[in-house]
Amino acid sequence: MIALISAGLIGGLLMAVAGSAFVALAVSGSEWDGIIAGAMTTLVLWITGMLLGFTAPGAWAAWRRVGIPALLFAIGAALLFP
Amino acid sequence: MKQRTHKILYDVHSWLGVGIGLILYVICFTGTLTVFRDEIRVWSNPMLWAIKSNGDAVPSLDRAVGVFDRHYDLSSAAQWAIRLPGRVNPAYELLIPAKERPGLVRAYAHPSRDLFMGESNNQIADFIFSLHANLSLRSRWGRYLVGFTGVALLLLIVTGVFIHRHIFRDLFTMRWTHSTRLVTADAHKATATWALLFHLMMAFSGAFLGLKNLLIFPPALAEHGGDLSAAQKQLSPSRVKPSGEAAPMAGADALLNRARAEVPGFIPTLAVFQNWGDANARLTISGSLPGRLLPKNEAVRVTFDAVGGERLETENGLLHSGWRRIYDAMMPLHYGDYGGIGLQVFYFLFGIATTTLTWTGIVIWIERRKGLTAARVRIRERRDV
Repeated sequence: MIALISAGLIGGLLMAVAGSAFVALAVSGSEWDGIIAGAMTTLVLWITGMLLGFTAPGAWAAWRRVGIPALLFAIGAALLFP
Repeated sequence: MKQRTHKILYDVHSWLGVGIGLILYVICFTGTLTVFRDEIRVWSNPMLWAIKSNGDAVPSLDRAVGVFDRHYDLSSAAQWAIRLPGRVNPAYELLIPAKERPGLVRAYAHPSRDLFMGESNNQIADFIFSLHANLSLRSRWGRYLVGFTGVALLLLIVTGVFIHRHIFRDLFTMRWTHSTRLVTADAHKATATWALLFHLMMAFSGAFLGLKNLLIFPPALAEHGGDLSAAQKQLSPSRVKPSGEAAPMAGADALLNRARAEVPGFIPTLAVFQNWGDANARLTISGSLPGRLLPKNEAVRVTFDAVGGERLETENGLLHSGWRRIYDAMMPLHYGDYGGIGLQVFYFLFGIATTTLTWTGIVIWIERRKGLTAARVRIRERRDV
């Protein structure tokens, strides 16, 4: 249970932060556009991460569910990093 | 949906709801009242009730500055502001940092006479607002706590939608003659479903406004290639420092009129004075564009050099790009101050719906616990017999 909760809360937050950095860099326009798009994405991704983590069939599955998208977002952000 | 997933979401919904229910209730209730905070402020300060505009005299910002200058040491404060008379507030309202305590002093000047009306002696509107925005905790953690409660409300709404199996049928179901638990559960589902979009908008905008300082930092850091100081500089631009040389100030009324002419339809609501009396003084006139989804006091901002009267910067919210417009919309969407009294009443009624939702949620949990305890007692009695 604790593993699911921590995967949802902490793993979901990590996924959200990685996602926000990726979105900030991917959104074209002014600097503010990227920053605001990234900030708003954080909330949506965190909620999604919590739902994915909490409802996973086990601890590993929970961390996989949030870990893989987090990794993909981080790789995407690294590729776009100025 | 699998039964296990449904159960987990149900458990998350009920335990999270119980855990933050009371805080959520306080935030929702005070938020509902906050819709009328300007009206409450006027109502709670009787000195403002009897103001009648003198037809011969024109409201004057210069006169108001003069009135306040006789009672406060304006040049010693780095920044202070005057709210201009408007639809609700009939007087000029000074907002200046208090010397003996944290927070602001609010004082009033008559709109059309050279008359100091006194300091606000009732802070109920500010108290309600601070309870809503930061649970009356002075540090930034109060605001973050409210922001995290917004995230929890968002999660409660999403899990509620998933576990709610008969969303359309429950819209019209109210079993008034049944037990308290069933009546409360029906009310909970009905208020949740009828005002779902409003609850979602409130939760998202509330979470965003509460946590925005935290949320914008990682993307800002990414945008600036990891340069921490550049990110900080963009997020909180530095203020102009005083030069230490005294200088005569340009007329505030003339600058106010020039600001009005800058953007068609601009209604100034606030004048912010920085380094008043100094050679580096600035006057920023900000206000609203009625009917636009932009912050009430920040839709347009015109900054002047308050000594020479030069216009330094005009920020027009209508010219902001797409994402910035969404960001600008968060505050008015949350507080419902982008329309008239009709919109305020709408927000107030829907705010009551959100408050009812939290209250009925707590009652359902209590009733369910009572039912479970009674059932356990019955089983034990039967076993004993």
